[in-house]
Amino acid sequence: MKIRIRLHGRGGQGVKTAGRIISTACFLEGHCAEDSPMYGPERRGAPVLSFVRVSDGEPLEERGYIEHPDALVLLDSSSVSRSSPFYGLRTDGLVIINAPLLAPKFAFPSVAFDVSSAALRVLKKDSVSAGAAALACKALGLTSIESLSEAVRMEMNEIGLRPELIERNVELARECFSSVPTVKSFVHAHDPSPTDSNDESSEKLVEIPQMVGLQPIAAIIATGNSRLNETGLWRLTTPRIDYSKCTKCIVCFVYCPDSCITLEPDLTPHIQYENCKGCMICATECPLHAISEERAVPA
Amino acid sequence: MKKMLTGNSSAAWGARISDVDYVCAYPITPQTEIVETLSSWVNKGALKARFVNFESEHSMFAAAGAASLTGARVFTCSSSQGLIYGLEMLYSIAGWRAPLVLVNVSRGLGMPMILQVEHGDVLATRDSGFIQLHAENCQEVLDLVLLGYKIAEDSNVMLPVVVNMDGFVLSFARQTVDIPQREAVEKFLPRYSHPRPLLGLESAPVTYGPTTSDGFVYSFYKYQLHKASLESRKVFQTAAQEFFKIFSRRHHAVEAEMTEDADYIFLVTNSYSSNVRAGVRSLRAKGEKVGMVKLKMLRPFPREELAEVLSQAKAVAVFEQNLAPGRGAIIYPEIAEALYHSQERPDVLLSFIGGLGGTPLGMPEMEYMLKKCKEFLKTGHGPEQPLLLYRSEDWESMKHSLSKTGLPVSREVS
Ligand code: SF4
Ligand code: SF4
Repeated sequence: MKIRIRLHGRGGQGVKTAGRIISTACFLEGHCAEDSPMYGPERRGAPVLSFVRVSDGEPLEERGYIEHPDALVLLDSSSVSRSSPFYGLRTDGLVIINAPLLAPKFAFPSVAFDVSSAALRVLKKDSVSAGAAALACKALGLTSIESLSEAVRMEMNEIGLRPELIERNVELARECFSSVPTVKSFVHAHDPSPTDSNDESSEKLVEIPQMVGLQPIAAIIATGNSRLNETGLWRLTTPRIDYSKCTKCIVCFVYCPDSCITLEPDLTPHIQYENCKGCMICATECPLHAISEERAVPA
Repeated sequence: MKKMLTGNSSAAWGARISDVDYVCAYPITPQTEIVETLSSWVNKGALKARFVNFESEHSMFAAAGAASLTGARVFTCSSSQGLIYGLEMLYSIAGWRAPLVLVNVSRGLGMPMILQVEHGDVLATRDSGFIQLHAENCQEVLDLVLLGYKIAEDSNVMLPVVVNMDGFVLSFARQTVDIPQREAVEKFLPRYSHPRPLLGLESAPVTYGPTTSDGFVYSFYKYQLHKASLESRKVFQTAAQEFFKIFSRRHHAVEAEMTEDADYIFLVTNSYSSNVRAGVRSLRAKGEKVGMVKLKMLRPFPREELAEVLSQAKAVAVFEQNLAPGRGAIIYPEIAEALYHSQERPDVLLSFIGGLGGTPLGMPEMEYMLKKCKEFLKTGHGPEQPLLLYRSEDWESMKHSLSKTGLPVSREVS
């Protein structure tokens, strides 16, 4: 039997570390495990993924992204509202989410625990990777609490945390582990036949045409298309302009590194939130302190 | 000792347990983790080696080759554009007969610029004289580094080795890797000593890589290089047997699986071998007589072994992750040549290109390749080759991307 887990979160949240903790715990438990992070540049706040594959010994003959996971681990509930993480989740798949117990209802069975609050209490900061990994290990019945604790120690040591912080992460992991039920036992996990390994055969291949002209040459002539890259998804903090204080000096407009502040003819500034990545340079530069900081998600 | 390691850290461990003396580094994604790991070990004293970060891959390879001639065991690594930038030196190193190990982490060659896997980089080095070994998983990365030194330093070979792993899919994926004990490695890989080290001693002068204007001189040495490379097939076999005795893991230049009764064989290299194996298993479960052949050694080219395992099949699908414009896939013609003089040979030999930049290889691709082979067998007519494996959903995304470029819609050539 095999189980495929896809983790969703945001750059800086520890999505990769959470994946590594799960797979190391499974490895210590004697399972066959594999993990890999998302490919490409990881930016703070940007949506990121990582992947874990576990089996009880059969070789894991798959590579790359997991398109059809058996379980999702969502490191914060903003990943639900901002992008749909449910694509490809098997119909009997499980959603494991860091959220208050009154988590949003999904079309899938779910396990929720407020890891963020526990982390704020235990670690004094919202650092959820160990806790989220613990939810997965327990909810999926993958490992014992001992293997999990050891995995947290190993992975947190690997990223260079101080010993006392490591132990507090272990404490957080143990609390999360004890707070959720095992919903699916690993041994009863959906056991896909090899035909259904990582992709559905319904996907068809096509012969792509040969083209002449400019399109077959990798070139872009459209301007202003960086706007299409919704960097607003990266935002952990949101700048808000207090127009009662604003003198329309346009300093924020000049300093915004992503040109996502527009001006009305009378120079009133407006922040374009689709692209504002929340760097807060505008707030730092505003001479009138008219821009305040609002947390988009607890970070 | 079993550990969860990425392909990159497995390569670093390979260098560490081979007790290398000199590490030549120049970072490039997706290879940087290898040099980072090695530099931290050297810094902490866990690896007693000299670590030098160079100003370019070209200088890095030059230093690596020269250091190897002094009798130091040398490790270096690169990827993609970096490898190609240093390509000139790879021919020199091979010509100097400098037995070092270079790990390449395969990444596509721009343009367009990409960080994901394609084998154009490592295959561009195929005619340099380097022995070329390709890894399927993280364990093989480590094993092939060990085997690499063993073959390279053999007195009948004295050639550099490139060990290839796929960028991202292997370099950043963690798997369980068995790291052998030091004593076992020492037994397998005794200290390297060069028969005539380049030490700058007045008492033992030596010049490597002299210049000549005579064709007969040039021909002589080039031919010796070729012969030494061919010789390394035997050396690899012996080394692999010894490796199995000590470490209980088998390695062959050509690895055939489920081919005994196979009518259709998929040929593959590197990490996508795992996908092909899973595909072959599931096609077998549906009653298809399929098998696979994994090419672990690309240079020297194991043509006899290949001919032997492929000749019985009705059709062979050659899957490659490279594209030589105006030619097709790079390894395919070599397979055709290997089979040319076989008494029995497959009726159909088809070339498929996929996984470029990390595109998927799953059941749709496996079924498509099988279907094309069957059609060809039945009708006697084949498609124009190679066939690119491209998913319809990817084509939809591509059309969407094209619409965003602002370029006028181009005409399709029918
Ligand atoms: S926070 Fe301010 S400066 Fe930064 S991107 Fe948003 S609007 Fe621009
Ligand atoms: S910098 Fe501050 S005061 Fe000036 S335009 Fe921007 S928000 Fe208004």
